Amino acid sequence: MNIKYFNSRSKGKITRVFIALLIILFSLYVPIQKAEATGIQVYADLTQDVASPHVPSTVTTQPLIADNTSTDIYYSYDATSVFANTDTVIFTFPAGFTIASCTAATTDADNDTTPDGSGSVSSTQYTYTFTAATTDTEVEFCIDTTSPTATASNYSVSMSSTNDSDFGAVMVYAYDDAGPTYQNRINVTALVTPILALTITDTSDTETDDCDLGVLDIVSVNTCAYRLYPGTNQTTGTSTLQIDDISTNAGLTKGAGGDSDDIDNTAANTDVAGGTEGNGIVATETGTSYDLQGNYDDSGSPGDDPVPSSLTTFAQTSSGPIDGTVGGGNYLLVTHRAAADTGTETGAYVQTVQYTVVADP
Amino acid sequence: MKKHLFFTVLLCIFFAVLAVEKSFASAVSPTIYDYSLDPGQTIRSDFTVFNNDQNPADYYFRIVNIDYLDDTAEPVFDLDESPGEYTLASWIRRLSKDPSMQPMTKEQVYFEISVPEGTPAGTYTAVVFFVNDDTPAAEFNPANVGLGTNVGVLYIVTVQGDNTQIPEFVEFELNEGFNFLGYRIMNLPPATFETRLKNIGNTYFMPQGKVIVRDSGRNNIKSDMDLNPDSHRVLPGKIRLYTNPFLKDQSSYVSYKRDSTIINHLKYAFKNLSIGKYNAELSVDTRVTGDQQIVYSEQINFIIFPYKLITAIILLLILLFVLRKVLKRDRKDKRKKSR
Repeated sequence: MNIKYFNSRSKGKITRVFIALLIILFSLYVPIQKAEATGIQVYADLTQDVASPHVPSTVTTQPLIADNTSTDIYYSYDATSVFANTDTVIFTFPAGFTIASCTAATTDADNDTTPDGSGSVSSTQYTYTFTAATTDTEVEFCIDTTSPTATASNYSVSMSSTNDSDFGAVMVYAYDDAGPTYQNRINVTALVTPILALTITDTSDTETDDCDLGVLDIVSVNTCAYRLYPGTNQTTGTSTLQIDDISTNAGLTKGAGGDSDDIDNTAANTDVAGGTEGNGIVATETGTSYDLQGNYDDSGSPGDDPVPSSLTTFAQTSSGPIDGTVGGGNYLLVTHRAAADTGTETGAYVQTVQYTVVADP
Repeated sequence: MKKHLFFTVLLCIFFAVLAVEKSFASAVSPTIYDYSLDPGQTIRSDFTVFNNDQNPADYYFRIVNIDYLDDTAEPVFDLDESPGEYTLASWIRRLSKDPSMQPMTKEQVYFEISVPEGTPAGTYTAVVFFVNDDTPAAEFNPANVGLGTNVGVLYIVTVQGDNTQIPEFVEFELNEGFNFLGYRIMNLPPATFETRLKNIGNTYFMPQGKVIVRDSGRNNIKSDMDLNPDSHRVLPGKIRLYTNPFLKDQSSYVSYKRDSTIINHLKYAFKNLSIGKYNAELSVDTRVTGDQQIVYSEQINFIIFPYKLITAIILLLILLFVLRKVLKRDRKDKRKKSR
């Protein structure tokens, strides 16, 4: 292992480094839940894939198991290249798991009817050692898996292989099967996948696609408002909401370009005032943990801001999940504010604003 | 006249139909795909799109490359839609047609990812957007703002080959406060620790680690924070910032940030009163594969002392003392005058 230390402040303080190493070793041996696999995509299935070659990306039955109940799970993946004799594939389970080879133990991982190896178990680690080269890159291993008692959770099972140093992880979902052991009981289970959503409503929570500023005059500031409900059910992971004016000619315009055809954008952090031509927005957070960013965060410099003509970060989450259900009280209120002066030409002015949301890498 | 009426009715019907097609609720699942593929390999990928609105809607897909600015991973999209050969957006092909969706329905949509032969090893990123962006009908509103939504599924593809994950430690720091006799002096929590890591390789890595705050004797752990609880990646050529706030009472701080009143400030200040000397230790394992794990460790000594609050209290006491003196003198003067 190639370990480097960059420790300017504590150089030479062996005790501190020792403690740091202990923590790192601890973090290495405690599996960490991941939202998605890294490296190679690994799959877990309660149903054996008997087709040859395997189709690892087809999961027939999700790996949803009762806690402390031995279940045969088929772990599969498509390796970078075929396996050679002496290659190994190791699956490491979280602490508290009990594992074993299935009664019908895997001896032909690529299912080409020629035996190619065998599996062995040591503590929470299953190792399949190839004794012959495979003819296919897609392999499947049956591991009898038992999760800890009364600890309903999503568990991450990591995989590493000597074949091209492939690595990855897969989730196994265990539900708490505790309770009276009546023969007539039924366990109701469900699985919720990660979702990213964005809804725009008016201020009465009715979905809308426009914001009507009405008839502008030379003494008033007209306003219209709507709510943005960005939401994600992910407990980990963050996302970014961006704003962009996607009008053919940016700004609140009559269609063509040029100063005579638009209502001037206000400068950043500058309120639109009655009697002076101007157009801008102001936003506030209610309930949501999407935090307004840059000029849109008015805690530092309040005031209206222009709608940018290129994608610009508007709000960002610091943590999840965020319930973006309409009417749930977690939204960003955006108010458009516009005013005309005697130099503002008559006509119908239009602007199209698009909001973009995507998960952070 | 009849001709005008006919066209007016026709226009009304046209816009009424358009109005029915408008919807501004959309969602995707999952939110991120992370693949490891070989040059020349083709895979099929799918995700679910939702119209969780009460109106039917027409959607379309837009596939764009995504890059990231600065250390907070602020996204920058390549919207020119003519991606180069070795960019992920050019390898993703839509297999499903643009969805026309009824209210409260979902649809599975399919894409094919084909990595060209000869693609250099490394991590590539792109987004498939599920788009709804009707433009407003200006004819009927004098000043109107049309609204649209873009919800994206992030694709991260690591092309196998000569992959390198080369982490560089940039800094571990505490920005608030000021330095005094080797300590960082802070007014009030949160003490927000900022860790920056750089990847000068061609393949992302996902660091794991801890920021542990102890008392100055390093005996008692005050806070044990995961460096990267959200499993954020350090992409090739990028610096990634990880922030870990040390705070006793999160809810009072959030309330104060949302509504910065004096009452909320006092609540937050008293609930987070943590006067003392502390030591923060960063241990980060950059989780590079195989036997190339690289570990960094850093420390910061800091003091939390609410000097602003205490100064305000002292000033208030001085003010009260002076006020008392003035009042006393006033009373004396009045008594003298009355005699």
